[in-house]
Amino acid sequence: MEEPEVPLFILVSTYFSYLVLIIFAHVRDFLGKRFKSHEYTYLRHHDGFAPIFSDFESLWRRRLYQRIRDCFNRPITGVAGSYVTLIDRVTPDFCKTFELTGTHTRTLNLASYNYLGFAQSTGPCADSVEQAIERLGVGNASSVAEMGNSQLLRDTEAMVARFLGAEASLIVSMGFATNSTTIPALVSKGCLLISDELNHSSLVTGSRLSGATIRVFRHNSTTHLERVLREAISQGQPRTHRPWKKILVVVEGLYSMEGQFCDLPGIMALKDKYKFYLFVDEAHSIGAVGPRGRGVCDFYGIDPSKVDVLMGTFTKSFGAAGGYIAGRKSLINHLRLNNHASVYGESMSVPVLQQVASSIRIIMGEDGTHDGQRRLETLAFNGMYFAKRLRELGFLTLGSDGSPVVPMLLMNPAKIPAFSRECLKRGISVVVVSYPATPIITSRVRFCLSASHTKEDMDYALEQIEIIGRRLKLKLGTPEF
Amino acid sequence: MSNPPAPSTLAWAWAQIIDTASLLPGSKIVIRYIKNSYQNDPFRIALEVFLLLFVVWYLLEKRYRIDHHEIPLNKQEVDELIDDWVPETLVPELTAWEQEELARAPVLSSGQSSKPVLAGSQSPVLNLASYNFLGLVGNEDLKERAVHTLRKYGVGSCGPPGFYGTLDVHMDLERKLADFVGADEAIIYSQGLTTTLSVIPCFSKRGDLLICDEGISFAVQKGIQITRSQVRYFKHNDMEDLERILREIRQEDQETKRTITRRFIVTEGLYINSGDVAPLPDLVRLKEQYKYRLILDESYSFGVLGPRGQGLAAHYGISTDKIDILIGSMCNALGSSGGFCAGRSELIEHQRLSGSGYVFSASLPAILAVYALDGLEILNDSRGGPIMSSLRANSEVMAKGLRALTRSQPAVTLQGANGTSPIIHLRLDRNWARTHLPLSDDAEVPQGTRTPLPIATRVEFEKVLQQVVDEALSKGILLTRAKYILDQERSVPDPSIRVCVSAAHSKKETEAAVQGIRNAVTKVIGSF
Repeated sequence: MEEPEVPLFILVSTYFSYLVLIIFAHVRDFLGKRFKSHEYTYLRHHDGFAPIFSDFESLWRRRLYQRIRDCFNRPITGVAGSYVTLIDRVTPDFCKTFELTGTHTRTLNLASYNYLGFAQSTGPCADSVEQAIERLGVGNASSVAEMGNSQLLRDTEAMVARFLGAEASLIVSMGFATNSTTIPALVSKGCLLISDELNHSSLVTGSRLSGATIRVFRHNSTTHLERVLREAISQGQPRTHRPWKKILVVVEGLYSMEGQFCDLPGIMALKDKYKFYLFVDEAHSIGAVGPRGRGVCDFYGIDPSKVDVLMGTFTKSFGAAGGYIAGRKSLINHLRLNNHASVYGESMSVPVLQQVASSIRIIMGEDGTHDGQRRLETLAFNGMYFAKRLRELGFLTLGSDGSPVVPMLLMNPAKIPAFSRECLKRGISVVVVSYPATPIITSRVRFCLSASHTKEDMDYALEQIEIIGRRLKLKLGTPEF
Repeated sequence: MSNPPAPSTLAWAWAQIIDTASLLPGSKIVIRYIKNSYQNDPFRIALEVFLLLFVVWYLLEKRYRIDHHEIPLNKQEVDELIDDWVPETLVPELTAWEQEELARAPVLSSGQSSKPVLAGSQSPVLNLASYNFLGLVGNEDLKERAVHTLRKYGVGSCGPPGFYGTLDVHMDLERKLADFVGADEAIIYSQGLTTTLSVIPCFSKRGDLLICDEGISFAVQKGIQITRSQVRYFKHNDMEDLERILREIRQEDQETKRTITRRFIVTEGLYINSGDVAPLPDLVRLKEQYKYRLILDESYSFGVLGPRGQGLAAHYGISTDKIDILIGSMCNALGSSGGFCAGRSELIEHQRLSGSGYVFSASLPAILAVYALDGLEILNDSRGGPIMSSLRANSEVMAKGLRALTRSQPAVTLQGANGTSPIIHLRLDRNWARTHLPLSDDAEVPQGTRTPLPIATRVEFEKVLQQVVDEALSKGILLTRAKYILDQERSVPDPSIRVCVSAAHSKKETEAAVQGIRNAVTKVIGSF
């Protein structure tokens, strides 16, 4: 991906805006602590206690995030499908507190990770889930290793493995935990973990728990990865210079904040020479990407058995929750005994498990219909169409072609809430993200397309975004700037 | 101008520079200013030249590196080293015992309940293995409500709470949980294990201090590990040892006059690894006296202790606000999934942007949130009383019965058989094992109980306990050994069968279970 060119004026004004915001934040803290000290007790040493969070750590949250808190954690009710029902709320005190008004607003949903449109309360998936609940109940109150393993879990794991083209798979009840509790079971002290700089927080948590040495390479840069590998292997472990026990390279299939695919072919080209193991997190790409929905391997036409650890989540494309690890049988057997979540975490609940099984069956076409294929094709079209139209309208978008996530740059901090609120006024729900989820300068709005969106939905959204874009001067890709 | 003396060359060069510089507009003012300020001040000139050199040196210096021991190698050498390097396999091969462990893991063919059916069998067995303390797993009314929820909300929430993943039922659940335990506010996470792992690092950072009980569960250990705070451990449930450490630290404070950082005491309410109950009144007294905050993991005590299952504080009749950070779970007693943290509003709000498992994970599916909500309602209304008294009665029956067993059978010991805890660990006695088990040469049994068993010995213990489990299963009683990841635990307890009592069993069934366990133990031990 080429970094889009942002006009200089926008860059300077963005930095300047943050500068003003941060100066104001500090001034308010400084004065507040002196003149309204009772409201700031939790930021000061008092009564022999250190403050529970330091004022500097929490400055961002208290002074910047809080001003625009109405754009986040918006409560909803019902299914987050192509349309989502928001529960209206108002704030009497500049987003410090909210009151529910008791009314609802139905909005077009460009925010949820409902890529294949399986967030449904009716249809074959929901029917099968209903039957499963009646037959098997809901929770398990035990871990897979102890008493939480069931025939349904085993069958679903086998199906996931078949779907991915792997020997075996293992299911974990939470997507975040799939990463954070598996990595420590793979690498430990004396091993090297090389991570893309934009990897998700769950991967970072897992890496830190593992005790392995961590190196980072520049986002999606295989040349930098190769440099790191050459240096690491030739120099060995720090100080002792002993050879590394093993090297694990951890990347994501689709970077959700960037809408960008990882350079899997480039990484595979290095794999044989440098003998590292590869962990690919397909949280966003599985189900959503590739002609058969099998993720980035499918997209690039790479044999999935060449990737050592395939990881993904069921939260997004499958309308369920949790995650999986797939790979060789020996890997999965090892993980069944050593993955924290399998031994200490609750096993996946029945409805979620059944939703996974039913949605995969539909994607694979094993239900005897072309519903799955139709969803995949619609999603691919929607992603392409939406991104292309945005660029034509003069907006700066990020990301690869064919990604169901389309980020669009907003830059100036004041435009973050402005865009979100304007969209809401026009009946569209969007996700705006800024620092710390993105670099401070490139705040963005992230559109998530779904197979459940019709062309009319998208055209309506584009028309409204065009109007908002003109009012907020967001068309950074036009000569106007 | 040939061979002029050095000073005049310098002066000439200087003059040239001044001449050239003065061509620039405005430069005259600058030059005059510099000339004036350097007059008769050699020290200042020296200092500023030094600063200038430092800046040049700093800019030219390579970036900061942690590893200063890099060996310079040429390309060919690097290539050779890369060719020579042979990594270990991604995962080690399974040992014989590990293979057996995998093959023997029970698989349910029915749904989970107090009397489930295992795959390959037809008849239901009495479940003393899962954490279904209240019998809410498999509850028929709750199932019906789950279907109702499915038809309104679907299954997955398709987003993290921050991005349209907060449902009305999540807000209801948070409110009800907070009210139930008696806290200002609560926040829910979508997995029990990850709750503890996320909450602790939200508050304790590098440089802070954690004082932890030695008997804490795996989740707490890992939560502590992520914080990178300083950690000190006190003997399990030993308040004197805790006070000794607190006193030592206070003395160090006075000697070094250091700034106080954040300090926490970390314990569990009901210890999963031992079935012991934490002495909250003493903990509160000590934390107030020595100015610590208390992090209490109630993953197993929530729904179990206290008159209605509100947890440890209610068990002792203490106000919940004495517990600064209370962590609970909905995946055990409530039979749903996920966990929560309850406390003062500002601490909870802080987690909505800093709790990694909250921010970076999809929210709890609505079905599971409603399941937990309904469970809370049961505990709150007239159905709660009988459930709680059944749990107490069964716990007492189990503790009493197993204590009688250990009196007649010195080969086994108990932990947690206090009558309050529904979790009881049945372990092999080390002294008995030393004399009776056919241990191989490399397997030995250390004296006392504080030194962990070597792995080879552990496996021998586990095998005996597995025989007990198998024997009990053949009589219709479902037990499980407590499973651990040995090399990830800080100090792993001796192998045990973890018996979990459930309120869903009648008194008769629990008595039958006691009898079954006694027979199984007697039979297996008798064969050695």
